[in-house]
Amino acid sequence: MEREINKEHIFDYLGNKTSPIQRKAVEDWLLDRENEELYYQWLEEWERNHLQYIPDTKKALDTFFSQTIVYTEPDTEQSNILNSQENRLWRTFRWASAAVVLLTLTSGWFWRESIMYKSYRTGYGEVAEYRLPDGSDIKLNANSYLRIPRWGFGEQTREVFLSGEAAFNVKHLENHQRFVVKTIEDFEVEVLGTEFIMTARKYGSRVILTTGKVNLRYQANEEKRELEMMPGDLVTLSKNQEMKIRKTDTPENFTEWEESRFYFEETQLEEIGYMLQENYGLEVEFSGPEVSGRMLMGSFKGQTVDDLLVSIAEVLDISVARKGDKVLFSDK
Amino acid sequence: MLKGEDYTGEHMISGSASKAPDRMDRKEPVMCNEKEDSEWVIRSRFSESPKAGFELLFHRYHKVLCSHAVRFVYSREVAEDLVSDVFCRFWKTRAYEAVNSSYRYYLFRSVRNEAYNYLKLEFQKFEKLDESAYNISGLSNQPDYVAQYEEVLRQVENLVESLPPQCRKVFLLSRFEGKKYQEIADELDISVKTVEVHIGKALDLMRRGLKNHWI
Repeated sequence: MEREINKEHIFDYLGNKTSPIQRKAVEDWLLDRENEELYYQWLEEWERNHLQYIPDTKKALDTFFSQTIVYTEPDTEQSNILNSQENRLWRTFRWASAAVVLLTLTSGWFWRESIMYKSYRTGYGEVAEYRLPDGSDIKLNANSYLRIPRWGFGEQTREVFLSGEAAFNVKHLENHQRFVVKTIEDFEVEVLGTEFIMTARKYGSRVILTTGKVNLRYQANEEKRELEMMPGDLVTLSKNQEMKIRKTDTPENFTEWEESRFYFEETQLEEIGYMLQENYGLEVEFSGPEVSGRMLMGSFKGQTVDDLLVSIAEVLDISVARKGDKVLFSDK
Repeated sequence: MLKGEDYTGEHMISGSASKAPDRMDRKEPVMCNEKEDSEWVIRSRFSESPKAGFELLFHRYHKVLCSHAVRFVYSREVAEDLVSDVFCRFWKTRAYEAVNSSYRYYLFRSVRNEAYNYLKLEFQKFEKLDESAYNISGLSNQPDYVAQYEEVLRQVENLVESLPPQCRKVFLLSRFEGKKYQEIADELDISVKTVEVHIGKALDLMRRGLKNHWI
């Protein structure tokens, strides 16, 4: 039997004053999506009566308008997204608030500052450029996250954490401070000053060195290994696979995402699926292994993700269908 | 900027609060009436001028959202950033033209999502994030149910509560108030090193305490 839940119950629940039985009843009630509107209404009221502190709303609003919109109507301003996507794309993802979401503001605005770290993030389909406090430049590809220490960056340490993909142009400091990029994997890169591109995605990691010298440290068979990369080297680390190193004559191809081109070098469609998932939040499916195993080579231009999907399908002579954030590749 | 006009935000708030009790016992969800009741002013303002509507909306919800977000992240600065991000997205995507729900619903849900993600990024053990990678649809795992957010929130609260007094004090000064280590050290008459130790300990406790709460 469903219990009737009223405001008092919710207030007790929010104030952590319920017995486990009552709490269960509230939680059951909350399972019904129909009740959510009402819940948020009560939550608002409760929160208003139990404010944790009083933020400076006026200042926040002033900052908001002065920093971001400069009092224009939405959509008319130039955002600083380099890879500016069509509105359609934003709309598609509006409700995908699930993921780390796009911020298209100027400078300091999207630095999530916790106490220890400063973070840089990009949303789906967004590419952004930053200068780090030590003078190094980075360009973050879509859906990527870079975290640097809040204090002492360039003085005591230059250790950063990357999830996603970024192009680094690391400045060589007078004190020869090492620049270390760590990832989720047991895999890190150490440099003094150089240019390289690094990817640390769920489907695997990759480092491409453009100029200079890079030390790569990784774990293999419970063993720590180290490797020195030379310009033009391309190193890939995939799940359950040995590390691969090879030469590429055209490292610049790998930076094509910076100008909304996509370059694939003998890449399986399945892997491109992961890329689409990572960069654009798309859920990609294939009608079968004969499709997902197809190989793709070459450079693709795509101002929007739809353009890219269509050109992939054209090249491989397969069909592609997109519905919301679901994409299906299948045989014709 | 709407010079010469008063924001009616405060009036609306007290108005809706005083009306609320007689609704309390209504059984059916009162969504439609409800949202028009307390948000129609904002809605109609949006249709006249997005800018003016937005200002009204901001005044109405900014404080509560910040206060709510800080319960998750325990940092005023972060909470305010998250809330600003949500408002910004609301503006840039013209959500005010499109949402079927109340603005309140959109804003609270988004802020809770953002706060959850923030915590997760900060405290989740990264190996775990990696394991979930192979769950194909698990690109961005979010709690499905309202109650799961409440659970995380409660856990955060308990964890902060469970810190030893001095450690909690340092943690709150640093994180919630955003004070520098040196300032905290001066204020509490302890060394910067001790401050660091307290912070490290608090963060570690948080990380371990939240370990089993990530979706």
